[in-house]
Amino acid sequence: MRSLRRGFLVLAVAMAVAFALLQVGDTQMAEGVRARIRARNEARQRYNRGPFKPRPPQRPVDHYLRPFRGPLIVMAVPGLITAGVLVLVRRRRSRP
Amino acid sequence: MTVESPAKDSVTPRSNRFRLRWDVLQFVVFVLLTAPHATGLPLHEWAGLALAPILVVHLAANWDWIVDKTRNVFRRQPGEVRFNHIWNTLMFVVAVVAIMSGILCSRQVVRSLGFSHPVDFFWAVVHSVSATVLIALVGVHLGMHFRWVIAQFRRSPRGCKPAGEDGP
Repeated sequence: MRSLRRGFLVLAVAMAVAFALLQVGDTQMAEGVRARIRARNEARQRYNRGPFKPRPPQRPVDHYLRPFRGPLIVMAVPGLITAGVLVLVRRRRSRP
Repeated sequence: MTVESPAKDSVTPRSNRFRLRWDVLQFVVFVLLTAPHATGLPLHEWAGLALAPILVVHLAANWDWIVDKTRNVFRRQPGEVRFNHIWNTLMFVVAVVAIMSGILCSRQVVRSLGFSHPVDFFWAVVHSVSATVLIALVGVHLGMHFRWVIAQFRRSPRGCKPAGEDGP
């Protein structure tokens, strides 16, 4: 299929470009981010080595569904706003 | 997007029925990917890797629209079409960055494929930021094609009612 071949080609080129850009970006900026992450991890390890901590409370039944709530809200809010704006624009355009 | 209407019951790669089914699959995989805490890291990584070919087929199914709009990019076009074109391009770039950085900070998939590399948290940060941006971009993309999706779902299985002709 010609389209599929072209699609694969576009994706391969885009991935190569993205990879090259990411490699270029992986310099000073990456060092700063790494240093911050390292400091955070060390602080967490120091906390874990400290005195006994009580066990966290049991997770509720919807534990496996709850993580989806945030991303779905992040997706739904802009989507609904866009759909609403689109409806208003189309309605205004169709008005005589 | 002007879509050729194939035989009413056929499910060819360019038909609206195929595209709707594929988009639903893509949406389910994407929603699964948004919560690695719930699915666990191995499933998250394998599903992320699977999203790349799913995305390619999605692009291939809408290739005519992409070619048409890119060829006429400097000509006068309706604002909605221009917005869709720019937005889709942006979304494609962010998706590629998210997938690539996900592979680079992967712990399970890369190892199970026989490669080994030190875990670099920099790519984890890039992956997290690009994935969060991608979720919002996808939300707007869905909002732009909300009418098309609704029209496809309302369409009877026999295909008596023609669906709208929106873009990808």
